[in-house]
Amino acid sequence: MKTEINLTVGNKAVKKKTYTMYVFWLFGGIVAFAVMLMVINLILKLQYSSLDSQERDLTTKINAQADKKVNMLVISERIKNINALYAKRGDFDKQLNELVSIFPSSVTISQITAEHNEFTLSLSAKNLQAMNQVLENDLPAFLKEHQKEIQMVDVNSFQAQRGDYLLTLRFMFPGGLSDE
Amino acid sequence: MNKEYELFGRKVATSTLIALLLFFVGFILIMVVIIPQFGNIGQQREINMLKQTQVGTLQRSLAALNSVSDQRLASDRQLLTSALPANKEVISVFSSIIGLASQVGIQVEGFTIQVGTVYDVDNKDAEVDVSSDTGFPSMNVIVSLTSTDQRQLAQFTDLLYKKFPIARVNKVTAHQSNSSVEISFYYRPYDLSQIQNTTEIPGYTNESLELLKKLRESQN
Repeated sequence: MKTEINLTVGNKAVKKKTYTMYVFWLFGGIVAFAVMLMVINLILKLQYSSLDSQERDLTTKINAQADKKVNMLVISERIKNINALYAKRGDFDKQLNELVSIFPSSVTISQITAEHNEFTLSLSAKNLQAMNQVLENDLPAFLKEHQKEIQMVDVNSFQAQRGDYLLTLRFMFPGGLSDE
Repeated sequence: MNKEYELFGRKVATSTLIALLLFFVGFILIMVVIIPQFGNIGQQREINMLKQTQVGTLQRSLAALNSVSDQRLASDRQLLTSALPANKEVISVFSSIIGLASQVGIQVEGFTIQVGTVYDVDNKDAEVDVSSDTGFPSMNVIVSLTSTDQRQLAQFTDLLYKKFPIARVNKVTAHQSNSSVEISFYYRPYDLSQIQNTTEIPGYTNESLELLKKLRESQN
């Protein structure tokens, strides 16, 4: 059994050992970290390789349906362009049809000038009663129903000529090309 | 056990020597392996993400391709190219207008076509574009008509809008029985080789199905 203990020397030796141990641990940590980074890199490379093979596989499958692909791409291109044109087309047909439907058959539409969102309609009637019906009932009823769609209505002229009553109305719709 | 060596005139313990060596190797590891790995991992992650996006696009494209039949695609393509042709379809436009006019009892007296520039030495590659307000090349047709009632003209424009879902009536002038209607018929050429190089194949959306339904209804 050892009876002599030199505490001074022993203390010095423990200090040295601790310092060396730190270096070992630090080195071990660095190695482990380097290995971990290499493993991550390897995993990423394997992932890339798998994605690459998937890409090749999918491209082959798509290329096998080349005609179908072209059809779909043409369809998509046409749809995009048609939608763009639809948006700029306006409702000329609807507007004109709505306007001519205001007037009863006793009134003749003698003239129409329509461009973009502006419509000028000249009406003629053999009797004043028919024109009165247009101005007092038909037109106000239409405007009440289409308040939001019509921007402005002008009575350009109202005249009597050789037994005919002539009325010219100008309608303006909002939107259309003139507002773009 | 902890043998000492003389190094540069000083006594150095074996453990210290090993520690120094490990320290040096560790430093080399940091410089040669760890720091470059950081860069590589970042770069590889970006490459993988890009690849993942490409694979995702291809998967969606393949799914879109597999979701429709060849017959359906051919029929839809035909429907859409008749609505927006690749070229000026002069003959089909004329015959359709005559047909529509006769349906509402109007007689077609004549046509005037404003085709636009056919060749421009300064701008060889540009598309011929008559009406630039829409950004689409168009063939403007002025149709002279004879009708007994102007209401027929309204019916004619209504039918025209149904038959040509993207044609646009620019101007209508009618006086007594004579009238003229100025219509823009749009077309747009497409470059097949450019289309073929596209990798993403979009499938049908609700919006596109709605449009196809509308076009199909107008054709019937």
